[in-house]
Amino acid sequence: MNQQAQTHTPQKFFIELLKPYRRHLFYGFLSLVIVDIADILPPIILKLAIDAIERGNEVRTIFYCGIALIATASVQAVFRFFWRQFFLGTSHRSAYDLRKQLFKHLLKLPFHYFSRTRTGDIMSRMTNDIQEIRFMLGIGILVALDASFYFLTVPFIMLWLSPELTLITMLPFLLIPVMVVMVKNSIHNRSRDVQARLSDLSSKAEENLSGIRVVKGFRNEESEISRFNSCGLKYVSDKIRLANVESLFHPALDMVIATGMVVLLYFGGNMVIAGTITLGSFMAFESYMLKLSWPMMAIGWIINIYQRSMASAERCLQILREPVAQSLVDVADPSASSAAMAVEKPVEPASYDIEVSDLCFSYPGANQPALKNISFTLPEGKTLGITGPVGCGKSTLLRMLMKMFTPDHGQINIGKTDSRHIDLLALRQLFAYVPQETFLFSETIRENILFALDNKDQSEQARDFAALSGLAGDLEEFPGKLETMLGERGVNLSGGQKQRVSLARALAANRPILVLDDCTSAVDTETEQQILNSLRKQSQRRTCIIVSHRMVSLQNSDLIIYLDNGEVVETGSHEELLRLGGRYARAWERQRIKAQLEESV
Amino acid sequence: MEEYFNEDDIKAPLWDTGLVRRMMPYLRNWRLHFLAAVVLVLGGTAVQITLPLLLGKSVDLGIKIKNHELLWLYVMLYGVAHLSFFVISAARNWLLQYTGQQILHELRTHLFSHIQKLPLSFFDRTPVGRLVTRITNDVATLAELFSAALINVSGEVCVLIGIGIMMLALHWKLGLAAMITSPLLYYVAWFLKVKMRDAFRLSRVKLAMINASLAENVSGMSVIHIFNQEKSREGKFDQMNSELREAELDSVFYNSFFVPSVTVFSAITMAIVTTYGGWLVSHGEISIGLLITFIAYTQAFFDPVRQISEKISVFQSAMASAERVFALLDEAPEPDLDSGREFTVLCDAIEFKDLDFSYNQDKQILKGLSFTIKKGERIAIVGHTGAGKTTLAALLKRFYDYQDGQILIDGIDLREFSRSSLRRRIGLIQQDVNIFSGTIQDNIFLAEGSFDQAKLDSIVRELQMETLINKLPDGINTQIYERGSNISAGQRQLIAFSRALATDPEILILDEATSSVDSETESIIQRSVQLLTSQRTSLIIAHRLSTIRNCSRILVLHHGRLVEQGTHEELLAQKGHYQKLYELQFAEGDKT
Repeated sequence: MNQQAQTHTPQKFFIELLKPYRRHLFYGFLSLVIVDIADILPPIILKLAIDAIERGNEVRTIFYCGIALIATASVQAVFRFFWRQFFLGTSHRSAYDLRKQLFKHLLKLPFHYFSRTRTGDIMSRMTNDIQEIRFMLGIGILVALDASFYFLTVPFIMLWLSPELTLITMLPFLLIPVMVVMVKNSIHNRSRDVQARLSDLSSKAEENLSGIRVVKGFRNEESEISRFNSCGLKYVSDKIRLANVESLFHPALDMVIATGMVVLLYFGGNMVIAGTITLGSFMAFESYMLKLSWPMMAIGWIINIYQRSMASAERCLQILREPVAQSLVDVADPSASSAAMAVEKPVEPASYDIEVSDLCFSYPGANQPALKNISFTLPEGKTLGITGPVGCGKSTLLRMLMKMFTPDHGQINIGKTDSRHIDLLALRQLFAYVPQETFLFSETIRENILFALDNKDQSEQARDFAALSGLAGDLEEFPGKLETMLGERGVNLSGGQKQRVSLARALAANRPILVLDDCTSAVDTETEQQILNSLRKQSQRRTCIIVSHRMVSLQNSDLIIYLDNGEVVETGSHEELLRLGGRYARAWERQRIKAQLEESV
Repeated sequence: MEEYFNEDDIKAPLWDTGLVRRMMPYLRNWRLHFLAAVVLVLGGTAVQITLPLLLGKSVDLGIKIKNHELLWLYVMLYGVAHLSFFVISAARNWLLQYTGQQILHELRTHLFSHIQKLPLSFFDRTPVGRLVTRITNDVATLAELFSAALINVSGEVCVLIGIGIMMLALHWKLGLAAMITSPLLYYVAWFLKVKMRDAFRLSRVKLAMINASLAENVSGMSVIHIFNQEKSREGKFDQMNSELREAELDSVFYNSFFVPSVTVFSAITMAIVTTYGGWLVSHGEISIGLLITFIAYTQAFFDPVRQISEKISVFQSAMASAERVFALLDEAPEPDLDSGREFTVLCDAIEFKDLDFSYNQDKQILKGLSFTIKKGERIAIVGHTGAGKTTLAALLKRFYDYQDGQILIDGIDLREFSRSSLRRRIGLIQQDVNIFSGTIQDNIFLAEGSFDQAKLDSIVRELQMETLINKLPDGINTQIYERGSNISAGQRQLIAFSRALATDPEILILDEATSSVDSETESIIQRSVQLLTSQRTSLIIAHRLSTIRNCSRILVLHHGRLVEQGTHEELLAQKGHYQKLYELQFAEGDKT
């Protein structure tokens, strides 16, 4: 699909979306033809009835006409049901397909796509834009076909009834599409103004409400109200400018149709008097004119829907055109060198020793490197602690290890294999990651803990991992225990509880390398110590990488790295670093005092 | 995220008399406009009912008896009727929009002013986004109720009743025959509408769920990748996605019944009218013109059914919005800001006596706090985050009222003074500088009409702002972008200080920024703090050693209690809490 999407124009894209449902569309089209035929017959029947009434003594004909009216209406009703089912049903099915296709594609996109694209933007493409496309594929196509049918039939019937009367009465009708197109433009412009004023109004409100402490602090409510009031007045005046056009528009359209009616009544009436046409034809004419007015108005509407859906299709195609993360080479660096590497066969690492040598990395567009010449070795089963001030590159280093980004320079070996040669999916299988920003899904606690497992029903296992993460006590307090549903992003949990669920999730994944990215910041020190102790007991042979601001969390690590500005400033074991008396030792001392301060109440 | 889960409008009733009654006061000022609108609606109905009559007459009196003059006359009347209908409906539409907008403007302004009067505790628990939605979207949804729904529906109902009466009056037997199916039609229409609404609700709930899940999956993409859960996520999403599709298809199903059933009913009615009417014509009971009038009435009779059923959802969401808006208007405002003694000058001292305070029952913020600030003193307050420093400032300005103990100003309880005067005379400079859209000058003189050139000149001179202002394209009149994105941190700070100087407060509270700033800003802050506090009783929530050293006394707060006080040197010599705090917060910053 991806390859196809690249060459697609929106039109081709629509055809592609509709292709699986061509049978539905065919039946829909058949129904439409039947409905429209059944819809253009009644005026003729009415004509026959009125002519019969006028001639008198033809009760039987009149009765037949009545039956015919009901019959055409019934046929129409049945097939009208089908046309909606076929056309609108198809549009919903295509929307489903499109949503599915987009989501599937999103799942394959690389990390850096999500770091440069706002969630809101993706969301709006997957909701509003799909809706616009659905409109076009459903009601848009339906109305377009319907209107074309009327244009291709009704004028000919009218010409058959009376050519002169057709030409005279249709004259004012030609104004309708012109009016629609012209007025729509001015309505569009004015509603854009209204939208802009509305957004002024809401930014004024937002500004005021976010600064409410200043407003109240300076006892400034009245002047804020008068400022808001003047924004409101501007909005109202633009809204009324829009109303000026809008309130005229529909009556004016009605007036054009009415003009046709008046012309019909005068000329048609005179023709009936002169005997050129019958009274029945005259009434049939009236009905047909009413029937034609609707497709005339629909033209502008269809054009509008079509244009909007084109823009939306383009926006959806943009997502589909995004290259997916390739298994071998991370797309963050799609340069020639890495492409060459892709030819080699993927290798499974022999052990989980991690060796980082001379690693350098800059974020795209950044003028400062995020990591500079980082080197260290972490043998399998050992624990690495990383610390340093905010923004020193700790999380970036973890991301590099997990191949979310590719290094600019230097390399990362896992079990003596260059991680670039390890299949991306296989590499990800090595790490159990507890991210700094806890992200839980709005599912049950059990499902969150067993997130990485295929079988998510093993409550026992979930409970064990919860206990290991220090959640046992909290779990008892939750209304549904393990089955408690989490609100969006786990809003009904405290920060510490969320972090521990996230930790349990990583432990349950049972991967050889455990990565904790400052994940116990919201847990008090004592609980944290307990968790780390039980972790040590449980996973003695597991390689651990712990990033933390709390030095106590790192003191038992086999190796500690102090990072600053993307560089390794100090490295060694806890004791070595304390003896060194540098940055690490100073930070350690400060935290010790802080702990004392907090204890003394 | 709120909007995805906002399903309250789905449960709302169609009509709530209590809510409508509460809307009445806003209509009162515009009752003449409404009267005019009602007259226009009735006039429009009358014209609409006359049209088929004129059509029938022109057939009977013009075409049938071949009278060209009468035909001409009726054509003219027919044209005039159409023209007047055009004028009436344009005027009606405009008037409704106009009046609706004016009423909503009043409601919106009222709502906004009400919000301004709510206590800070309300803002503590209410997200800004939600309030903005109330002020903009909910009020706009109410507009629909006034303009589109209320009057149009009553107009349609008038047309229905009018046609019914006319048909019965013209020929009661034929009229009855024409209307015989309508009770059934209305029953079917109502039944289907309820079904459609339920199906529509369901699909909206599913859509909301799918949007929420989408947002969640996109934001948690890295977690999905790390744990290799692409497949299971895809499966889950597909399940929701197909549930949505099924719900939508259900709603299409009921929808597909609606229009056809109206078609069938109108065809049956038309058949009855033509056959029975035709029989009546052939028996000479009615004229052919009257039959044509009846046919035209029948055509017009079925349109309102569709129109009215379309408006049901508008009623519902308007009721839901009205409910939310009025709930907000029901929030109790702060007591009268101006009642109580006027605070102008501090003569002697501010005294805190055994002060207890908590924002909610759970956590006591201040516990038996006692100390005194003499007039003209410069006091620093230091302590951990959450020690209760900022709360002190909020209490002095009476943003909150304390529970136990007292704050005395020259021996008088703070609560006896008006909130207004306290807020004017006690200046507060906060850590985060809120910038409002407007020029720099507007941001200094916040209150409208408070601008004073002489004052501005002296502020600029005292704070040595010339160079900074000159850097800006339009100097003091430079327009600041939203959230002050085009000015530097230092300029922001200067604005905050200038604001305080512009109001010349009797007492100054300064909540120093904790975050580290560039050296330019740092020097601006040091200079300005010195200047602002030198002649004033001031309370500084301090984070900078330089500030603390210049204060006459330091109060050390810990967990809502006063643990130590004295000068910097005295406190350091005590080797107690302050000394540790000093090492932790200030010493490191001092070295670098």
